Amino acid sequence: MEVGRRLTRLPFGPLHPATKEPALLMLTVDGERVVEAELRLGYVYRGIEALAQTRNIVQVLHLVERVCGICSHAHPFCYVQAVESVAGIEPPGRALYIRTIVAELERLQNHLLWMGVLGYQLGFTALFMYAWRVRESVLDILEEMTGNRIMRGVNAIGGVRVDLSDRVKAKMEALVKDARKWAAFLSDVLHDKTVEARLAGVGVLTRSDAVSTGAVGPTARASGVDFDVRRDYPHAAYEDLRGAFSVPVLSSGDALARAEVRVAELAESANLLEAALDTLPSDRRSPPPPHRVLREVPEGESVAKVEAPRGELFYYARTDGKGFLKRLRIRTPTLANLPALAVMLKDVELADVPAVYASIDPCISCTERVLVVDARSGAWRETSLRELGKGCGAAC
Amino acid sequence: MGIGKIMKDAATRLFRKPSTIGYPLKPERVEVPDSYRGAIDFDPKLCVGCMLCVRFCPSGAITVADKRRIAFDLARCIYCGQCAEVCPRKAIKLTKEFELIYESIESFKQQ
Repeated sequence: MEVGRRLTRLPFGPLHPATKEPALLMLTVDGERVVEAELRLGYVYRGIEALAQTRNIVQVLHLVERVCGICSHAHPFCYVQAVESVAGIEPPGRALYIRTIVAELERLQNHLLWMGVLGYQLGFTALFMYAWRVRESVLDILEEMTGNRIMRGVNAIGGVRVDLSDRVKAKMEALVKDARKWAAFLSDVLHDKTVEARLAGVGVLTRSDAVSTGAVGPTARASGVDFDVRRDYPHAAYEDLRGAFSVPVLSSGDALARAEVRVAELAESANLLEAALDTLPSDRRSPPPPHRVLREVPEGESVAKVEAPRGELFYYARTDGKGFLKRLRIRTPTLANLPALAVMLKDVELADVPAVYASIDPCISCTERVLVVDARSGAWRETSLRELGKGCGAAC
Repeated sequence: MGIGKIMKDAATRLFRKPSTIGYPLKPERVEVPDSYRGAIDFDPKLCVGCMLCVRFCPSGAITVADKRRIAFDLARCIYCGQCAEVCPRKAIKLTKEFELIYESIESFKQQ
């Protein structure tokens, strides 16, 4: 840092109109320009991993569904895979397809929600309204299929709890056709000159930074990291559908690239949905009853990952052989993307901070996993990523 | 592309019905799908007291009163439908009722 420059420490949050969830961005600014950004979490810690150790395996299924409201399918989707691989349960093919179909519908609605939020952050309310209007059509189908818009309760250990009726299937096929149309329209709206001027070259994350900070999902793919769990570690029906979709990768790494990757993923999700609906197997078999599941899951440990809408979601589960979990570890995509956010925010104008912040699609309450607890006094405090990076201090 | 396409879309939208509805004033009832998981309907005559619902309720909303009488606390319920799924006699059903408004937290408790 040069001597004689006047730097200001400016807190952005934890309660800021531009961020819907409490997270504190401590910005060091030189005039209007951000010199350094530090993120501090811990305002919405819910202790879900500790709670999971007090419930049985089937109860935890409903608990992890509530880790995130937006990706409320991705979490149980990942959890059941971890438990099934410990127990050696093979779900029927139709169940795997239904899980995949709901996961892709969820990706559609998540990207639309995100696009609306980005439009809102830019002051482009028309984009916000357009994106959220079509998002309703996706949510309506999900509601008709599963009963609820979010917290759909699709997954069960060893299968699914809902079936896809022919009526809903026909509606989904119509939705896929519509999806292509509105994805093209939204892409046009997003490529408005004003939007491009706001986003191009802003919040650049280079490929090497993306790799070294461990970014995942659309954030990494916009920086040229060609990685997608659906293609590289195929699970559920993605193995069969490998030919039906491609993974959009861009190299410029700015906020516009992150937006373009997500718009391209809308069309890819539509392709995936079409292929999955075409080849939906018909072996309807209900999942094993929950009390049998509790008896059958042996002691063991397992990891699973899925491509949640925001990126790679990772689960580690260790069972105790009595139907309970000894340990559950969740790593959400936002946690992986936050160190990259600190890199992106360097040299950004203060007015662009909300847009860059929104461009990684952060979901803070899902991410809250760490509280430093002093075992001697029982006192707890939140911690910053930087402190964690330095290693555990005297407090732990 | 630019403002032209948005204006065209806006012009056609002017003459369509709004996407929102006037709930609760105009349509008093909103239709929910058949698979909707709403308020719990419990039939004590069918209950055999196996306690599976108590064991599997994720939020501890189902408690046992004296003599194996089951009580539901709708304020704690997360409406996941696990109790209805495990019940061997189908004594528990999740209805389409979603307007759950009570004056006090105690009145959420149902026997």
